[in-house]
Amino acid sequence: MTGTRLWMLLLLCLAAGARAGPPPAPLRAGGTGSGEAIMGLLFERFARDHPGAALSIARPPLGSSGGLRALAAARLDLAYSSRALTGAERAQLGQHVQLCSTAFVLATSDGGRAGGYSLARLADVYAGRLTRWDDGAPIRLVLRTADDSDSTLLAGMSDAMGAAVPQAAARPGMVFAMDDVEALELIRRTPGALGPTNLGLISMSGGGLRLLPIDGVMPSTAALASGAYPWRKKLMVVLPAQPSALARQFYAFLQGPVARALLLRHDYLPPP
Amino acid sequence: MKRSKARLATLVSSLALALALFVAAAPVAAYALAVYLSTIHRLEANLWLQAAAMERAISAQPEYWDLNSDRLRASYEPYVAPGDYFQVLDKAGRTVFQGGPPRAWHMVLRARALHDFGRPVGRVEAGASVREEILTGIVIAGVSLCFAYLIAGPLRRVPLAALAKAQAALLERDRYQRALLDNFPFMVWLKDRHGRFLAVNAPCATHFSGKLAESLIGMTHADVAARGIADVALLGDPDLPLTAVQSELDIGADGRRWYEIYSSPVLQETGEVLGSIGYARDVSAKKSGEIELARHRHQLEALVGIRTVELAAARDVAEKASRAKSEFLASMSHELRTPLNAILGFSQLMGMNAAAPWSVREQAGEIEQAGRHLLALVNDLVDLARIEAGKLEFRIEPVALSNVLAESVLLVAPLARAQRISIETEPDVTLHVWSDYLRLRQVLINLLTNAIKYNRAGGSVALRCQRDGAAVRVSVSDSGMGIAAAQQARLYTAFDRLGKEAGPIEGSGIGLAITRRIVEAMGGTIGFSSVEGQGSTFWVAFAQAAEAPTALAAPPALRPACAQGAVILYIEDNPVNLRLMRKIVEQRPGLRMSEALSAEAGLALARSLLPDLILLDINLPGMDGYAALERLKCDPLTAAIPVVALTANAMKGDTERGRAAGFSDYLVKPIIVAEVLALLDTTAFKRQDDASSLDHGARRQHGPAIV
Repeated sequence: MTGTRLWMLLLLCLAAGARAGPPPAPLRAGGTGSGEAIMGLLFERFARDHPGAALSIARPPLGSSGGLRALAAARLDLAYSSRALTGAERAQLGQHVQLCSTAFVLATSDGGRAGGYSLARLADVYAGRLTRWDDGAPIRLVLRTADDSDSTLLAGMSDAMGAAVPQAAARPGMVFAMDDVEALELIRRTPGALGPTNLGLISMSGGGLRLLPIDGVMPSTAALASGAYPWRKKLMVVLPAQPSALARQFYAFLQGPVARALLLRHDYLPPP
Repeated sequence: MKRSKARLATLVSSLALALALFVAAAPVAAYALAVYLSTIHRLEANLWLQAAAMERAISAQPEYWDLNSDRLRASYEPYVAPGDYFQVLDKAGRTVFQGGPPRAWHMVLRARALHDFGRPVGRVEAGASVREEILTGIVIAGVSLCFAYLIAGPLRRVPLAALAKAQAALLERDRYQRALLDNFPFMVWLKDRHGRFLAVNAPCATHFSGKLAESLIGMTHADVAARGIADVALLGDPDLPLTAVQSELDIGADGRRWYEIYSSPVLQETGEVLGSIGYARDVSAKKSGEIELARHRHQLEALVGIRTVELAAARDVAEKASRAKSEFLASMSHELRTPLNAILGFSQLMGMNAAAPWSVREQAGEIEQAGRHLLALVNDLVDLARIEAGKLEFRIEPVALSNVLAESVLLVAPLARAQRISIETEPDVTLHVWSDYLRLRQVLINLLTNAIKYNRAGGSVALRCQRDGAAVRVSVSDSGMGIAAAQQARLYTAFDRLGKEAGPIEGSGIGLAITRRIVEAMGGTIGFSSVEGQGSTFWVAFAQAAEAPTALAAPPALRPACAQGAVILYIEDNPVNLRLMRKIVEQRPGLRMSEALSAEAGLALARSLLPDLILLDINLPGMDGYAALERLKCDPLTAAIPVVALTANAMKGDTERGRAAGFSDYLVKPIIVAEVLALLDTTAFKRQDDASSLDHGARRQHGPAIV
C-alpha cells in the first residue's frame, strides 16, 4: 500500500512537472504612445481566448519610428505606428494594416476657454501672440519635438499653424514632452496647460481633460466618423517579414469583430 | 628742415615706445582674453544645462517652483562645477537659493533667464573665479615689461639712424637736383593740372617774380607774374603734347624781350596726366641778332643786286674779250698753220727727193726744222693762252706709264741722236697713273726735249719711275750744265730763258711754264733739283692708279705703195696747198688727183668722178667743209666715199667735232707728208681690193680734173 502510494505520488509529481513546462514567449510589442493602452486592452481580450499568451510592451514608448526600427531589427514581434509606412519600411517589413483612427485633439486641464479657438486664434497662441486664457491665467503650451507625428499634424491644420508651430518651438524655455503619454500627463497636471493628444488615449487614460473645440466643432468619434471634425490620428499595426505564430494570431484578432467592438467602445474608429 | 627732422625723430621715438609697449602688453592681453573667453564659454555651457534642468523642475510645479528651493537646489547642484558661485533668482530678483563660494571681484559672472513654459520667471547666475589666472597674468606682464624695456632702445635708435642717413642722402640728392635745376640756363617749372607750381628753378623765380623758388610752390603764374607772361606761360595745356611758342613780352624795366617757351604734359605710368613741365629761355639777344642780321641781309641783298648788275656788265665785257681772244687764237692758229703747211710740206718733199743734191736736201731740212720750231712755238702759245683762259680740258684716266714713256722716248729719239745724247730708260715699267695720256706725253716730251737741248754733247738723259707713297714719280735727269741757284726761282716764268736768249739753243721760254700748269691742272706735282755744272733732274708725280688702262688701238700698219688707178679728189681754195698736195700725190705714181677750189665745184666733181678718197678743207669760201660733207653723205652716189678733213683748224675740240660730223679722219695743217702718204696708200689698197668686184671703168673715163 505504501509502495503504491509512493508510486502514485511520483506519477502525480511527473504529471504536474509536465504540465508546468517552460512558459511561452511573450509577444513583444511597441510603438507610438497613443497605441500603448489600447493595444494592452486588446491583447488582454485576446489572451482570454489564448491562455498563456503574454504581452511585453516596450516602455517608455518607443514612438512610431522607434517601434518600426525595433521591428526591423527583430527586437519586437509587432509594432504599432501613428503614421503610414515609408517605401523602405514597406520593403523591409511584413504585413501591416490600419487598425483604427481617433480624433486628434487639443486638450487642457483647466484652461478657461469653453468655446475653443478658431484655427487663426490657435495660430496666435502658438506664435506667442495670445498667451493667456480668457480668465487671465497663462497658457502653458506643451510641445512635441519637430519630428513627432503630433507636431506634423498640428502644423498641417492650417497655413498659419504651419508657421506658428515652429515659432513656438523656437521660443526659449518651452517644455517638450518626450512621448504621447508624457504629453498627456503634462497637460493633465500643469495648470493652464494646452497641448496635443488624441481622444482614444484620453479615453483609455481615464479622461479628466477638457477638449478644446476648434472652429466651433467639438472633437468626438461621431464627429470624426461624420467628417465634421477632420483631424485624426491613425493607428497602424505592423508585422515583421517573418512573424511569429503568436503575432500572426494577434494580428488576425485585431481585424476581427471583437477587436472592432472594443475599439469603438474606447473612441477608436475602425476602418469601415 | 631742422623742425621737420625733430618732428620725425619724435614720431620715431613715439612709435618705438608704442611698439615696445605693444610687445609688452600683447602677451598679457592675449592671455587675459583667452582666460576670459574660455571661462565665459564654460559658464555659458554650464548655465545652459542648469537652466534646462531648472525649467524642467519648474514645469513640474509652475505655480510653486520658487517656494520649493530645497528640491530645486537638489536638481540644480549636479550641474554646478566645483568652486563656481551660483544663485537662482525669481522674476522680482529675490534669491530663491544660492551656493558655492561668495561672489567676489575676481569672478567672471554670467546669467541666463529661467522660463515657465516659455514665460520668463527668473534667472540663474553663475560665477567662476579667475584669481589664479590674474596672478599668472601679472607675472607675464612683468616679464613682458622687462623685455619691452630691453628692446625699446634698439627700436628707437635703429630707425633714427636709418632716418638720419636717408635724410642726408635725400638732402644731398636734393642739393644736386637743385644745383642742376638752378644752373640750367633756362627757366624751368613743373605744374599740376590746375597750373600750380610744384617746382621751379632759381632763374625762373628771379626772372619772372624776383622771389625765391620755394616761395612760389603752390602759386600759379598769374600769382607771380604780369598778365602777359602768365598768359604765355599758361600755354602749356597738360592734355596736349609738346607745344612751343616764341613770344615777345613786356616785362617792365627791361623793356620788351623775346622768350622761347616749351611745355609738355607729364604722364603717369597709367597714362593719366599729372600736370605739365615747361621751360623757357630768353632769346632776346638771339632775336636782336636775327633782326640785325635780317637788316644787314636786306642791305647786303640790295648791294649784291647792284654789284650783280655791275658784275654782269663786267662779265659781258670779259666774255666778249674772251670770245675775242678765242677767236684771235683760232684765227692766229689757222692763219699761221696755213703758210706753215706749205713751208713744212714742201721742205719735207724736198728732203724726200733723193734726186736732189745733198745741199738742197740739207737746206730743205733746215727749212723744215725752222718750220717745226715755228709750229711748236705756235702750239705752245695756243696752249698757254688756253691754260690762262681755263679752256684746256683733260681726260683723266689710268695711264700705263710704259706706253707713254716709250712713245715719248721714240718721239725725241731723232733729236737725241742729232745731239749724240744717250737716253736711259726703265727696262720694265708696270705702273699706272691718273692722268691725261696726250698731255702726259706732252709733259714728258717737253722735259726730255729740255734735257737733250740743254745737255752736253755726248751727254746722257735718264728717265726713271718710282713709287712715292700713293703717287708715282717720273724723273728726267740730264748731264747738262745745270741751273744756277740764283736763276732757279725764275725757272717757270714764261718767256724767261734765264739768259739763254742769245745762245745757240732754240727756245721760246714758255715750255716749262706750260708743263707746270698742265701737271698741276691734272692734279700732279712738278719739281726739280739742279747743281750747276753737273746737271738737273726734273720730276713729275701723279696719283697711282690700280686699274689697267684701256688698251690703245694700235696704229694701222702702212702698206707699201703699190696700188694703181685710185682717184683722189682734193677740195681746197688755197692754190699753194693744192700744189703741195699735188706734189705729194706724185710720190705715188699709180694715183691720180682731181682738184676743186670750192665746195660747190667739189660736190659736182665728186658725183661725176666718184673718187676713192676726198680730201676736204673746212674753211672754204661759200659752203664750208661741214656743209659739203653733209651733202656728200646725203647723196647716195657719194655717201660711201671716205672723206678726210685737211684743215688748219687745230683748236681744242675741232678734231672731235670733225669725227662726230662724219669725217673718216681729221688731218691738221701743217701736214706731215709721211702721214698723208700713209693715208693715200691705204686708199690705194682699198681701191685694189674693191677692183675685183666692182667695175670702175665707166668712172675712169675722165682724167684728172680741176674745177
